[in-house]
Amino acid sequence: MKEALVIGRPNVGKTLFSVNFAEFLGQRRLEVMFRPRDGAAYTRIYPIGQARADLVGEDPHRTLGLQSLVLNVPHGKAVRKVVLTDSTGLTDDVHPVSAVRRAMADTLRQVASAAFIFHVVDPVSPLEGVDLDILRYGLTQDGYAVLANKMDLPGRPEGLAALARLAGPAPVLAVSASDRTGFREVKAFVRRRV
Amino acid sequence: MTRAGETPARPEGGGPETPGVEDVFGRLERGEITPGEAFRVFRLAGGQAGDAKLEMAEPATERRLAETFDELEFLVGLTSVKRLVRELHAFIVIQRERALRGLSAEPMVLHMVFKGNPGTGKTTVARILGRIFKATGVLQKGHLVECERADLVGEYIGHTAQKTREQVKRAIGGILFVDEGYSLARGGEKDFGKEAIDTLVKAMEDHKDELVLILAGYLDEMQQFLESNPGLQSRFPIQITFPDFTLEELMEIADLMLAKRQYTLTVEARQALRAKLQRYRRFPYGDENAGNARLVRNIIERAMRRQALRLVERSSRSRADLQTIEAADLDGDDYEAGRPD
Repeated sequence: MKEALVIGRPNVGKTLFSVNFAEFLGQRRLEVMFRPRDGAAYTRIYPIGQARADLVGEDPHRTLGLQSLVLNVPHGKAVRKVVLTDSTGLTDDVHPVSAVRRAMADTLRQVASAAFIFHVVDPVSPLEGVDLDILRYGLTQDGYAVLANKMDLPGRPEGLAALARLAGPAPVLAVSASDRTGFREVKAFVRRRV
Repeated sequence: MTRAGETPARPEGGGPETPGVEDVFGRLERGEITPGEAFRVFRLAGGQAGDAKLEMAEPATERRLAETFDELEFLVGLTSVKRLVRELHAFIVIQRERALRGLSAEPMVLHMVFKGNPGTGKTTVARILGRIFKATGVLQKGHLVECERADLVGEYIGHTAQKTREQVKRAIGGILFVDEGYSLARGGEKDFGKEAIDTLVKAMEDHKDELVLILAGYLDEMQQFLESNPGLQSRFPIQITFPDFTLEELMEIADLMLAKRQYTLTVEARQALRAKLQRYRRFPYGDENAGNARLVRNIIERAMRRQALRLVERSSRSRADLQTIEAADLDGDDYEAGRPD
């Protein structure tokens, strides 16, 4: 099973994207595998609305540790399974809390093995800091795509053009995780590569 | 995949200059480096990450770009055009770097007007630009869609916008090259050409970052066209004039074409060709092909056919005969019958 890793700064909408994208692909129940560093991995099954309420939050670093869910991506008449792994927000600076740092290290570990990297950004301001480093790394990777999220909010369409220029050959997919727009392009991106 | 709860191998005291990828996770966790620095190590470590997929994509792009520039250099003449293409490429690279470093970057408007006679290299340069734009990431595909008035202008109301949009759609991600662009403005107010212009202008705005529009045509006509549409002038910040080739350049082009086709000229034939080109340049008979590469190609292809006719009647032919074009092969018309030589 191929793995798609969702990374980005805190509060760019990684988890909301993951949950809503799963729903977009027809999932009504989410089987989420949590992989905390201390203790064994465990799985919880959520109705989709419950997942949104429980997993998504406005406080940064709501997601502490990797959370994976299995997506069914239609591929011709068959269905391919892809593991979508949601991760902790990455910061420019060294984070003071060791649990957060540890979660970030786990995210980085996942980067090397993921077949897809969805780099979620908020295009309202130019990319800088850790986003630039992720982009430069991503440009060397095949399954890398920038997801320009929050397109429903003001200022984003303007920022998108600058982002696309900056990203150059890397695909930039404009989405709104909350309005579920642009998901079709994300699906097409995954489907072409599974 | 590393399992949860597993502690990574942590070679203590690993120098900061060559951190192994495995150590990066430990250092990140201990707060010695930031996530951004970890990604930098990843990128630089390339294939060492233990995963073969960490492969650099850049060299291929660089190589393609170098090849494209070589091709540009091999074009005969066109010194000012070549300089401008290099300037454009440098501008794109620097603007991108400025953006990467958080400086304000000029929006790149790359729509162009190519002015010059047919056969002066407009399409060839457009094709090369497409490849440069692709390699630098300005355009996703960098392909060239050539079209002319008949492809854009329709026959009834509403047809034009539809036809034009179709061409625009084909060109998304690449270059839309409108040959004889000035012809869109001919025919006055009631002509549908105006609608095509309006649709193109709208497409330039709507697909600013996905499409480069090049309007090409004769120098004088394009000049008039732009002057009669003041709004257009500012939308095409880059205007390139393609000069006619000089006699020497035409001879050089002839040599290249012959070498490619594995033919050689005798000394007399070379003189005859030179005289012929000179004559056409001085008395072009109102023909715009005078002084351009297409004329050279026509003359050479005609000479090849005449040579074939001369040889086919012979009973025996040597290898050298098959390659040699004589002065006699260059006699006669090079255009349609009836034109004075």
